[in-house]
Formats: sequence, structure tokens, C-alpha cells
Amino acid sequence: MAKTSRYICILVSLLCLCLPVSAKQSKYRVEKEMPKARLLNGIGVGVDGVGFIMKAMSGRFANMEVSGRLNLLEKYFPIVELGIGECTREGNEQPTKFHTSAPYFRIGADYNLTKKRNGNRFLVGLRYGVSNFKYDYANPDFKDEVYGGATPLEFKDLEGKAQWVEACAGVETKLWSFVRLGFNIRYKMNIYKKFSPHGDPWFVPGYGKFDTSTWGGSVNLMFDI
Amino acid sequence: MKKALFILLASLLCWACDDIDCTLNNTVECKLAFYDQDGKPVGILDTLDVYAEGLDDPLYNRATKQTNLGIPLSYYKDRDTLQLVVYGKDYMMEDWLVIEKENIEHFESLNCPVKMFHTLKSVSLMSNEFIDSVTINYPNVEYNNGENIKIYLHTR
Repeated sequence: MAKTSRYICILVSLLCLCLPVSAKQSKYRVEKEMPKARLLNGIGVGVDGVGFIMKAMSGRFANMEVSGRLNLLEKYFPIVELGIGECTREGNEQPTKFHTSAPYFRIGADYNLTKKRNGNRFLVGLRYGVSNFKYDYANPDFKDEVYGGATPLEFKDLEGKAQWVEACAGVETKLWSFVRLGFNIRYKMNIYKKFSPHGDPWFVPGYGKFDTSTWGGSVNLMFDI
Repeated sequence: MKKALFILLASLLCWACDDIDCTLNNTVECKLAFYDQDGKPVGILDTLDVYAEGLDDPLYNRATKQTNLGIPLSYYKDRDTLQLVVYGKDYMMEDWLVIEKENIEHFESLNCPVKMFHTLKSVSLMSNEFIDSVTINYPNVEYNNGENIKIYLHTR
């Protein structure tokens, strides 16, 4: 609930910041008829900056991702996202350790709600994501309190499979020439999972901290080619 | 627009969350339920103690009028032998129950303790003083499971 409120606050503040800027721009813009967009209006490639920055800052987890998309009629943006999700994490309350590092794949499309072609886009979209991965889990302090005895617990290469769908909403703007910066927030819902009977992974590559649903987001640097 | 994006980028980089979401009722016990020979639930009116082979302290002490009770199973052995002792003012009876099982380590979250789940393979009696027979009702011993073992008492 707290996480949801945080996302809503971020989105509302962002909208408040965006509206006056848009109004100011439109006051000075000379009204003219826009040329019709071509069917294939461009191809873009991009990277999700958050994952790479978190990795560089030795974050506890990171999804390092690149994407490629088509621009159809300046309205429809079919997109493919490929990445590597990494997580090395220790428990705060327990001496547990979790690790995974595996690729993931997403496919989907965005729709541009903005009618004006001024470099800004407000995108909504859907994604379908897949990751087949292996994860490690260890607890060196595993003991039988009643019968006695202790054996350090160490699982290697437990197999996991997950599929999910994401509903995305985001904005992007032209920074310079062919360079664009954008962000989006994503509501992710797990639709399929197959994990080890020993336990679910703490983190699923591309999905994030595992639960039946979760929130995520990305900050994309896109290059129109 | 650009200003907003930079503010958001900073927000995304700063946020971090760490929930502790362990199962509240996280005891793993094998539930023993008592029945008469007609299959009706019964409570043992006198006092019942349950011991495990190799342990000095009882697993369950002075149970009275209970129709079922939960017993922890060992983490590392494939076979547990339980001694069930019923006693009153002037008598004492005991029976030995052998449980063969598979142990499955189970973790839930990084901040929750690891537990041992069990799958019951077989259950048998080594004596028949007050227990007539035993059957496995639900083989999976995990959180909040139902009756794992039905114990039919001599009631005639």
C-alpha cells in the first residue's frame, strides 16, 4: 500500500510539473497543419539507465536492459526488451543469502496518446515477459531446535520459470536530435510460475522482487535511427 | 518535461523497499488425530505424553481431552519413532509409532527462518496396547496442514 501511494505521488507530481510546461509551449507555438506520419516512421534502440546505474553502484539487484522498437505512424510502438537480471542479497533478520543472474525477454507495444508531434510522447502499453533462470539460496545457520543437529543449507542452481504481463504508462521527450529520454511505471502481474519445491526465489529477472503482482519502472535513453 | 524526467530519475534511484513478510503461523507440526474404531473423533480422557526416541524431554506433555495434537518431526532423520504414553491414577499404557518420511527444506523469504517440511511415506505401530491402528490421512507436513495421521484407539 505504501509503495502504491509512493508511485501515485510520483506520477501526480510529475503531471503537475508537466502541465505548465506544455501550456507555456503551446502559447508561443505557431499553429500549422502537421504532415501525415509515415507507416514506418522510424526505428529506435534504447537502454534502461536504472539497471546499469544500480549495477555500477553495487545495488542489491538490477535489471540491465536494452530495447528495440518500431515507430508506426507516430502512434504505435511495437517493442522488444532484452535484459539480464541480477540479484545478490542477504537477509536482515536471518543469515540467508540469495543469488540469481539470468536473461529475460519482453515483447509488447506502446500507444502514443499525444496528438501533437512536438517531440513529447505520453505512452501507454502492455508487455509480456518471460524468464527461465536458476537461483541459489543458502542459510549457514539451519538447525533442528527440537531434535538437535545442524546442517548448513546451501542450494545451487534451483530452477525457476516465470511469465508475466505488464501494464505500462510513461512519458518521453526529445533531448537532442535523435536522442530521447523517457520513463515509465509498470504494474506487473505474474501469470505463470514454476519454482523449486524448496522455496520461491526472492527476485525474478525482469520482474523484480517476486510476488503475485509488483510495481516497477524504467528510465530509458532511446536513440532514433 | 525534461525537468520532470530528471526529478523522476532521481526518485527512482533513491527508492528502496524492504518488507518482512513471513507467514504468521510458521510452525510445522505433524497433526495426530484420535478416532474410535467407528471413525468418530475421540479425546483421550486420561493424560497423554508423547516422547521421541533419543530425546529425554517429551514432545507433548500432559495432554488431556484432546482429539488431536501437533508433534514436531526431526529435520535430518528419515524415520522417527514416537512413544505415546497414556496414564491415569492406577494404570499406564504405551504404544510405539514409527513414521517414515522425506524431509524437504523450505525457505520463504530472506528474512524468514528456514523450515523443514516433510512428506510422510508410511506409518506403523510397534505395539497395540491402546492404539488399534494408524493411517496416513494427509502426507504433507507443512504450515497449517490438516490431520496428517489418524490414530484409531481401542474403544470396545
